[in-house]
Amino acid sequence: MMKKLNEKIDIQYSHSVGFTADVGGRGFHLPRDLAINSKNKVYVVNRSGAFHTLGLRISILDIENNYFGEFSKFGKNPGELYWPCSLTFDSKDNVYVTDEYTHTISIFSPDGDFIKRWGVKGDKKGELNFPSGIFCDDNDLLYITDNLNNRVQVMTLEGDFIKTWGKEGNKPGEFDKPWGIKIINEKILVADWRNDRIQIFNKDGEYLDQFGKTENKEGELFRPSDVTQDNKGFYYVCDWGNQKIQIFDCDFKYSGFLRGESTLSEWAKEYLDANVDEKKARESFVPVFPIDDVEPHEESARIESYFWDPTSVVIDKNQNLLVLDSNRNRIQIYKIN
Amino acid sequence: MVTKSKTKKEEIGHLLRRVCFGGSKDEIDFLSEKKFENAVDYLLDNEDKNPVPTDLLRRYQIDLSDVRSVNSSGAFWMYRLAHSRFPFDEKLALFWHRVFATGQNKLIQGKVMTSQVEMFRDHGLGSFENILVRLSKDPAMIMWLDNQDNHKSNINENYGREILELFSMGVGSYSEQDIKECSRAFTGWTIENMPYMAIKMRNNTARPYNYVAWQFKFDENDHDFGEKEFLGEKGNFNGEDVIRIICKQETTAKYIARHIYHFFIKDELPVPQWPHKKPLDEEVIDFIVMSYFKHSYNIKEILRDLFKSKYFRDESIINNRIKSPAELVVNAVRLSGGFNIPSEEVYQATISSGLMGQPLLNPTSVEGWQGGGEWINTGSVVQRINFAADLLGSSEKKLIKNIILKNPNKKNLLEMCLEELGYINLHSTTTEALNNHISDKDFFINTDSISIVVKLITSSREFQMT
Repeated sequence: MMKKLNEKIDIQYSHSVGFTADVGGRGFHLPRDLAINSKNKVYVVNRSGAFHTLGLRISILDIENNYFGEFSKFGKNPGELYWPCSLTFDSKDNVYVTDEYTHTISIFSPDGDFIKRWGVKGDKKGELNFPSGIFCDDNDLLYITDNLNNRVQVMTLEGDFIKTWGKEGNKPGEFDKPWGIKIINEKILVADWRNDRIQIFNKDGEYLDQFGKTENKEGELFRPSDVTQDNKGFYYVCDWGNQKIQIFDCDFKYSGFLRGESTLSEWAKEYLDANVDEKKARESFVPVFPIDDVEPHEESARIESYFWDPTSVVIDKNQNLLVLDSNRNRIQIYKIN
Repeated sequence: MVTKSKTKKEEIGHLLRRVCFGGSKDEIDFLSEKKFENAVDYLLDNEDKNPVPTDLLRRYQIDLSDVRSVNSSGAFWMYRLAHSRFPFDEKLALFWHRVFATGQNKLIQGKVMTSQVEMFRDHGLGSFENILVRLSKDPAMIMWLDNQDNHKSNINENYGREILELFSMGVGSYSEQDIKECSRAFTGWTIENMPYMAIKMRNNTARPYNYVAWQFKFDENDHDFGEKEFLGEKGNFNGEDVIRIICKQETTAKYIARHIYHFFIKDELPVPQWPHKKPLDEEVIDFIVMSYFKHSYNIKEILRDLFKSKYFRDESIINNRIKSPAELVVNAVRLSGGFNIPSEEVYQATISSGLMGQPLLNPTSVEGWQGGGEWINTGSVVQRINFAADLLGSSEKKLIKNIILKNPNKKNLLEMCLEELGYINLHSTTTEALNNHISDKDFFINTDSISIVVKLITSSREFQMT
């Protein structure tokens, strides 16, 4: 089933952007995160693979299929990235990228010129161990999910420590390998990945609330990687483990899910136009068919239009929901009405 | 020649090396409390019902999620091999991967290879008849041997031939007409969206949206429902019928018995020589054949009989078979305490296995790896020794830490090291050389010197054998 929504919510699939480009250029390779800057440009972190690193870069595009370029590449030197995970923008649209492997934050100009990087491995205040998610607030403070330290750290743009909270565990305020982080209406939303829940804090780091339960039944979460909220208060959880976007209202009542319904993007169509044998063979392609009883990850591997390892969700100023569909190297875009 | 005296723990060490991927001192001590036969039952009956969670792996080592490349699908399996709590089912999967060799070099996408291994894991211990049916419906096998091109109006005999020649009976046990009739029975056994999937495979393209994993499809419009004559029987046979007939043949029993002997007992001659050369030990083959029919082709029960038999514990086979690269690598990784996740260790181990001559999920041909002396050449020996020595001699890893915790002295250090490495038994000259090294007046017990002793042991011929 491609989606299931209750009567309170109206979301329509719009289109997809992107296609596989595993050696750079227009397209993506195993992207991890996306974010939108003040000029409505979309930046995508392409992690690429350990055995194939040529696709690692930050792509710049918009949802109208315009591609503006890319920057950085695989490596451990300044300006290079090794296992990049997430990105955010400061008030000048400078780009901050977390690198899990080198335990650093790299900073680039909006055009991709390298500015500097900071961060050292450790578990003391201000030190990092696999920084994953990152989000810059209106005061130019960075909120980082310090993944293997199981905490959130707040840092200045220069890398100076401000505050931290959290420790390993599953009680309120504790974490098990937190991933995505967003700040919406002064509330901090954290995808507490291995605790299968979303935790909510105020900006002082005080625990406010949580939702989500372990499992893969409808309305339950399994390894959520990211979360966001629309202007009506609905939460959109990127349920990486269940391969869905799970939707909850402002009281955390389950409101439905999206499973993915991608069509061919403009870039994909252009590719097929240039490869007529594939285009012809695709004429008889049945995108969705009854499949064997398999778990969601395998199901996604077989049905091309479904999400396959969605990792990031963002809502733009026009209430378009962008879902980064990692293993399919594309962004599926929905219109929230 | 290895020392003859065989302790209970050494015997359990042998069992774990052959049936699994070796055992740690703790595992061997635990199983040594049981009768040997009960230890066999323990290993065979504890299938891994809760397999190793792969979420951490897929979260951090992200190309092990789409497992597109041969290295990434190999690394995904390497992780399972190294971390399974009851690795007998993984060892069986490795056995079937060798018999039913399927290679990603042609298939291009690794996901379907990973799924094939999953099938071996789930069904490899059951009836051989069921395994053959599952194999014939396996999308990777269908595309590997072109059964998608096997049509009612125009047969392609590739799969029909290989299921007889390589997967069940061996050359010379059937006629060319049997091959054609067999192929007719498998017409219409294809995959969903075949035309598009075939083009993507041929073009080796991950565009537009990465590879799409294949699913079996029975296309009844393309299946030949007509009468067939196969191995002396007549009927409107389909693929399942043909496999039922194959499995009741004594030649099938003998062929599978020889594979089992080859993998679990002693290196046999390369498979292409089997039609022309008798088995090394016909008595053991006869024993396995008898068990095959007694247990209605059930692989687990056949192996239970074999592992409890005198043949499995015979002095002549102990430590007399060369570890395959995968066995060597997984043995070393397990002894060292497993992979750190996240890290790059799982990639390095996978590449090392390939450099030693066994890239997982990518055998050189449909005949698979021959094993035995094939594993050893000047390049692979260096790779084998370096990998095991570097990993097991690392002071960051569990093995060295365990030895240090026991406060060894110069008299018991060697024994402690051998125990931690799985109660391995050294040749007397190797023992003497190591004792001379340790008794040297300049040898002092510390982390570095213990590491060197471990490295020397892992460099020995004895460690390279199973």
